[in-house]
Amino acid sequence: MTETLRRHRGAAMIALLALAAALALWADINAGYRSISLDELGQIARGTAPASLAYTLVELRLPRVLTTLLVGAGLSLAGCLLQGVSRNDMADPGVLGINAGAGLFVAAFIVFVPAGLVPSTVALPLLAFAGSAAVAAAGWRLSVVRGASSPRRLLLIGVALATGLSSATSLLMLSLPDGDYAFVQNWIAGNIWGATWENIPILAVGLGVLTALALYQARTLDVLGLGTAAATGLGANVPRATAALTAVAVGASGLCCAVGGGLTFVGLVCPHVARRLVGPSFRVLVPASVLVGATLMLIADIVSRTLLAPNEIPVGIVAAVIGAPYFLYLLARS
Amino acid sequence: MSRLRTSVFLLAGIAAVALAAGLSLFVGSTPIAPDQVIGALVAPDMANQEHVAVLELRGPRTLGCILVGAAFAVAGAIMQGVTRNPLADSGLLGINAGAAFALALCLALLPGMSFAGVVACSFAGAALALAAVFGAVSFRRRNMDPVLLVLAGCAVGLFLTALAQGVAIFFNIGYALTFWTAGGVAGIRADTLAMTAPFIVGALAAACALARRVSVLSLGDEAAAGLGVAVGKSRALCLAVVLVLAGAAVALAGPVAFVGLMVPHIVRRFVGADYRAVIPASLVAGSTFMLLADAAARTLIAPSEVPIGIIFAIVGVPFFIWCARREATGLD
Amino acid sequence: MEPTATPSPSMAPDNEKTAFCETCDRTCERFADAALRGEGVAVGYGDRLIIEPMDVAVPVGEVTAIIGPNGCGKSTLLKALSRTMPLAAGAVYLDGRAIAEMPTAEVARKMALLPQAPEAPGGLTVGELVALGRYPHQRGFGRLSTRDREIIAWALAITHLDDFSGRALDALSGGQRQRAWIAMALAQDTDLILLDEPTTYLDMAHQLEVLELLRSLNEEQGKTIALVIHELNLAARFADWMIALKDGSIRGAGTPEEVMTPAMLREVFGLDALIEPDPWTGRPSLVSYRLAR
Repeated sequence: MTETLRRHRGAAMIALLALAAALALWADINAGYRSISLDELGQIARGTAPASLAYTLVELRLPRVLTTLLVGAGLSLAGCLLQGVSRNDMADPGVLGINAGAGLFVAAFIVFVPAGLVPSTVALPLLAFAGSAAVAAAGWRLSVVRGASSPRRLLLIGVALATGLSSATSLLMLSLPDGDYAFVQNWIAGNIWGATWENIPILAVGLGVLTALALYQARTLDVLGLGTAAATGLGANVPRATAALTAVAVGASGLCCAVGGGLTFVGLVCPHVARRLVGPSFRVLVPASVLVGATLMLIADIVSRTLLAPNEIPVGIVAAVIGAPYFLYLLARS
Repeated sequence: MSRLRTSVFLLAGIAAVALAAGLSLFVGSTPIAPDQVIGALVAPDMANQEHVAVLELRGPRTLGCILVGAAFAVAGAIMQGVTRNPLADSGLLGINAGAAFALALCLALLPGMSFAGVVACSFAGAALALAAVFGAVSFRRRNMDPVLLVLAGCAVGLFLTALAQGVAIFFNIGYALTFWTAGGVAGIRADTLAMTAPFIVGALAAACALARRVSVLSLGDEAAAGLGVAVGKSRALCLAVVLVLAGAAVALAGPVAFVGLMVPHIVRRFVGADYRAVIPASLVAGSTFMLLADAAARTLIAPSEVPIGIIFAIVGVPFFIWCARREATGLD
Repeated sequence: MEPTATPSPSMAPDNEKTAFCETCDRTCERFADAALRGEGVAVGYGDRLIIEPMDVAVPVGEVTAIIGPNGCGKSTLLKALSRTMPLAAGAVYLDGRAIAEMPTAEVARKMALLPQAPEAPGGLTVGELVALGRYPHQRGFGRLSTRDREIIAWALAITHLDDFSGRALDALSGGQRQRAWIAMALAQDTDLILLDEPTTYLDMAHQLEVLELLRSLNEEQGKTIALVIHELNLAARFADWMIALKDGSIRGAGTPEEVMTPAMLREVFGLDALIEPDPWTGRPSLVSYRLAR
């Protein structure tokens, strides 16, 4: 296939994915015990709809649906970057323990800082990011033996850190009163709790900036994928590029963790699906991952709300139940 | 020479177990005078509160620690030998999570089930998890890649843990489950002990009998076959023993990871890599470690208790990372 | 003149046209403008040195082969010279300028590297791989310019891979894949190309294919080539200059006739060798050998 054809194919696929995301968005808005028709949507937009209907859509559904979309996009971006930087198909913020780090910091905050001292909408994103960054740095540093890291070792160390940090978090959680306990447990299981209109702009702008940064570095990501020696030979500053791209990934996953809790496997599965659709070149892979992440997350949210209605399954559990078998399949195939 | 080393180690180990058991019996969150403890063991008086405490709480707990520690350690040793994977451990390979998931289902759906049933479910869950892990890794492949095994184990573990969490949230048994999930020997009583002890003791005996085969299997499938060992059957037998050990231990004390990882490594430094020595040595070392960890769990934040699984995780994770770094060239 | 068993050529200051080479015991024009030069370079971890402090040079406009037994440090030396491995001591000079002071992208515009057993992400096509060779020349979001496309097309033509541009790398044979990586190095448009064991995993026909390509790049395009290679006869046949390493130090450097001698092979490889001129190429050729006693 010539290059122009290839480019057009990539663009066409991205357009398709955008369409899929829009459809999923619409389906998620409609999921639940009351569906909203296009007519009613028009009414709400014009302001002629009954107040309760407008409330349902604007105050309840939309924030949650938009947050879900953004969290899926952000985690998928993080996974895509981590996989590129570590040359490891199975990297994911959850697998590498990054989410567990965020979880620990959040739990520590809830345990040790008296309620109301610091507003949680400010503190939790910051803590989630700090925890993510700390674990990412530690995991990276620990996987370097005699100056070289290896993808498999990074995974192993990440898995160890994830296990250890979850244990430490369990320990902290045991000392919580029931109400807080349920909150942290849900947060750890991955529940989009932070779906408020205040958070959405922060999330959207933050992820927008990070995605743009990732796109700017797309060629560097391609070059990094050839291995440290070849990348250095091509003039990439490997340590600096790795650190910068990891920081972008951690930023994205930290932001998403803060509102969505620890969701493992989203960042693993979505970039894979994207890669199957558009190929390994990061100029198309980054946008494709973002769109696939948004779409799959919306679908997971639909499942989490409708499968055992009227009960809700934390969406992180849905993600794990779908993601873990896929991870196993990748292992079996590798 | 190594025979002598092993014997010395075993004797020292038995002495250590005795000492640690003594420590466990005599020291606790509420002080009980030594003569009372001895009195409880020799001439129990059911009216005496302190005697009752010793016989109903400390005694079973001590015995439980000995059995659970030995079980996890030997299970880890066998797995490391059979899968030729220095990082194998029942927790890391998802077996503990399998048992935990089965138990969560029990707690939620059949709360009135007898302990025998709980133990049976535990075995079933452990078997399910192990089957999934092995299935994933040996799919279309002849060799068991050590790293893939651990990764598959973690995926299966995460999957089953997520399911268990779902069950917990759905049936509102979260708090109880978390304490148990973190690993607690505090709940061991005479009846649960009586139920599981035969399984554990039997499996430990079987493990010692299979030690020679484990040694041969650790040389690799082809070498083992060349030495006349029926590879498939032996491996299945060894893994069955692992399942019984891990399943029973998890039913008693909850999922405690890293014991099976750390103990065989430490033991190997003293008695070498032959599993005929490593398995018995892991038995005594595992018991000792468990007793010591339990003592720490009870005294660190007295009168509260730290779940023992957390202590092992906090010690075990740095140990695992150190192992992974050290084995770096071997594993890549 | 027999090369002595002392370390490497030493360099005289830049402004002299000739330099005194301790190895061959004479002043030598070829090192004055060496394409790539290491002075006192050492590589190792802690007190364990893989490369002892040495002076080494890759002469410009020639094909240089680095040979030696396993573990002698040849790949390590190439990595150190190409700045993909940090130095424990010494400095490397590229076209007379210190590499450590040049931005890495600038170095990449002058020196290309083909690493040992290179791996590419699954699904990458030949065209995409070769296009990555333009990385050091690109800016910003990195669209390929017309010049970029011309060079990529040229690289594919020279390596006879024009028809393979849309094929995935994993679908190619070993020799073709190696040619694709060479095409990527060519797309970098450098005067100097370093290759770390480019022939080790290839069968004989593909080995010849790759080496003949390298020789034509040297003779027709004037590129300086340096490669690490195991096969002594191929090294003698295709190289203009050979450097023999053992235990991290240079035991001999010179033309194939000067290096492929029984004395050198005994010292470096521990072999008693029978060396005759090859009837087809005229270069020294290892006819038979046995373990030295």
